[in-house]
Amino acid sequence: MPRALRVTLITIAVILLLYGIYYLIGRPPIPLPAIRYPVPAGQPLHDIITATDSDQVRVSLNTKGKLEMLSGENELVMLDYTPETLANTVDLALRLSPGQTFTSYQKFVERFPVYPFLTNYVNQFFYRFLPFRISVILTPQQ
Amino acid sequence: MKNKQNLIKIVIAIVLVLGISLMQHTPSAIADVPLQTDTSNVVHIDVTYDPGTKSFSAGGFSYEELKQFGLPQLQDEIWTLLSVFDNLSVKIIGDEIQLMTDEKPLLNMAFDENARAFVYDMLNVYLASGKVDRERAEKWLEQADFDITLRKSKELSNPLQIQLATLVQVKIGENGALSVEGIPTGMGVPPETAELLRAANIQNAKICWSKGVVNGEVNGSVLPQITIYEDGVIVIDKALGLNLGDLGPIFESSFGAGIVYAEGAPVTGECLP
Repeated sequence: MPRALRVTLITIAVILLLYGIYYLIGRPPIPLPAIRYPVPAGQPLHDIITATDSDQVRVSLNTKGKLEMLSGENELVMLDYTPETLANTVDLALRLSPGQTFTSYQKFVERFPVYPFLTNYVNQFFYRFLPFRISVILTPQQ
Repeated sequence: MKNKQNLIKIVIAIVLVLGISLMQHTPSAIADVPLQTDTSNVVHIDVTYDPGTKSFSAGGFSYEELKQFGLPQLQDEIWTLLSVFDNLSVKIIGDEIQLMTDEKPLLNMAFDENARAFVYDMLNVYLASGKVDRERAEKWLEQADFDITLRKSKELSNPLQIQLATLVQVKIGENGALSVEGIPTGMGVPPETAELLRAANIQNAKICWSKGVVNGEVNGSVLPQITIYEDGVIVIDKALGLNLGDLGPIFESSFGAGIVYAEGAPVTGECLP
């Protein structure tokens, strides 16, 4: 067996083995570093952040189907989604978007018919196979 | 030969790990929805009143909050009548209306088909436009568990209990006019909103609220479940100065609406699992 093929096969086997272990432990979302974003004064979001006790709001996305808005340990709003309900929401948002957004989107899809399939694939992949968790910490700009 | 053996070992290990992992149950991402389990329409309203100060509280809302909602002041005749009683309760149970005072029955009134037909006729005369949809009214009443308690007390009334299994039918006309259960409200959505609904081809929607958990459907397509926490609303209230008052009663209630735009198909079903 050529050395290159052997290395490839072993690499694939190791990846599959690691994923199998990851699957076995319940596929916990992979935490990504949090992003800090200072919100300038004068925006409604700034007022919301300063109205909290902790003076900061954390928006956390878990691609396993959960979007949360927290202040300290207090949950403010939580959204549970599945790829299907998320697709329905995006479709609704496009329909209700102002101006020609929906028509432009339809034209775009006509030119790239693979686009809805790709977005659905990415959505399903991070929901079912490799979930991650990312947080944006919103603080008031001093 | 040795390399081949190693490869076979790795492949067997992978098959074993994947085989076991596939037998595991996929965890659900959807939170348990705390929905009601029976199919009745429960409305329990507690009212406390103080004839001395001519103030009252209802459903956990203070007199000041009720005034903010636009509730009118009671006439002196009503206060005179109320001051006679310490406790008064009205219950609609099945085909009967029970009026009790100080825990003693004052009167029982038949609320059978004939009595209800009379009430519908009275309401039709009273309503300037629109008529009571008898079929819908019967649907509401057959599952009704209505209870209004009036207590002479300076205390704040107990929180409102609303758990409605039946969907409140709301219709938005092509011109934006809003009607509830077939009765015009005199209110409407802005023309731009009505135009947006038409352009987006939105025919109907179903919204269910259950103690902070919101489930929705638009044109039959299910939307993500939203959980709104009381702390979250308090923060928004504080930030935007909305003066929403005590939201406890709302977060203890369950109800839903079926919203139809123009000639869209009516929303069926209930706000139940």
